[in-house]
Amino acid sequence: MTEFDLSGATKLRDVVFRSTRANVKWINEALHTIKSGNLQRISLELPRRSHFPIGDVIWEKVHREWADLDHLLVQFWASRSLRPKVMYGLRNQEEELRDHLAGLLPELTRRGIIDLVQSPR
Amino acid sequence: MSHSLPPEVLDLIVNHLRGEPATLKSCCIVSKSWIHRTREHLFAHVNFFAAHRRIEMWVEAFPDPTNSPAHHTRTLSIHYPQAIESVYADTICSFSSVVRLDVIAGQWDEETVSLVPLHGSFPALRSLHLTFVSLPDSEIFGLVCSLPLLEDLKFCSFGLGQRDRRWTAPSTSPKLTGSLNLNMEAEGFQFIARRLLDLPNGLHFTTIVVTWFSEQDAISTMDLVSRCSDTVQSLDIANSLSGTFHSVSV
Repeated sequence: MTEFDLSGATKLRDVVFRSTRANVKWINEALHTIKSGNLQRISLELPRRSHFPIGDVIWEKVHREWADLDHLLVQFWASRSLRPKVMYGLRNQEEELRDHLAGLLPELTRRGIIDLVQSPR
Repeated sequence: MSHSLPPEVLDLIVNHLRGEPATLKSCCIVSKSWIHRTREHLFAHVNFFAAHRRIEMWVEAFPDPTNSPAHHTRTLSIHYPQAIESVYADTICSFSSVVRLDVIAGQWDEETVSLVPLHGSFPALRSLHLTFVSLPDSEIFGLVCSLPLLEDLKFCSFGLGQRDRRWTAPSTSPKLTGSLNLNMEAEGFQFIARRLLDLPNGLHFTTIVVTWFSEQDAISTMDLVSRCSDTVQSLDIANSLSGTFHSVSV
């Protein structure tokens, strides 16, 4: 029902996903459909901490989406040697983001296969 | 002094000063032989902010368009093009080497904004950045289709496009082989996407940068990516939506 399909974009090398909300299901769907053998870079811009839901039920749903994203990005690293990049806006956000990431993408963080970079946009 | 140095050495010296307009202005009045090479940098970027008075000043300073430094200009910014009346058409056309054009077509005091005076004026243009509140599609795409070498397009808008009932798809369009950037609120995104998809020579963008404000924006993005599926290498999506999407395929 909810597939965001990029399989036709066969020359795709670089994808950037920026979300102002906590939901990342759309990113997972898009990543699942990428068929391009040329893909070299996956970048994410995370929502601010304050944009994450507080209620238990909603948080559980959102957390599951992030767990799926964590798993998917680990697969990309294992199969294509792709280290995802996480972008931040301001220089002083870097430390806050590191803590944030450890909770959202634990496996990537534990393996040390994620890079933090300053957003050019 | 200018006769004692070979011209290529003078060019080298002046090129090193490209980021120092005050020094370049001083160099410009050293001798006649220095004018051309300093103007090349002094007039590389020209801004007509609150354009009416600025264009008047330009015409006062350079009354003969064939002899003005406009041909040195590579980047031209025009804010509020309602100021560009037909009387300035020759002046605008004298910027024939511009490769990047930034237009902010805001609307204040119920003045009519028109891009028509810009149509066909920039044969070398590669990159068009257009920010607008509301413009008829015939004016936007009349401009786009009058730029044969156009590669990059960036549209920002904060309102609805105006559907022109007399709209007919143009017979020719630029190849559009660079980047497309759409950051448009309301229904502007879908409106522009539909018109882009109608262009007769197709879309060949290698980079697509979009900001979504509605699910329909996502669907329009897929249409654009689909049209550029053989060329698109880079996709940058900023998503302000909280939900998920119905099935959309490239």
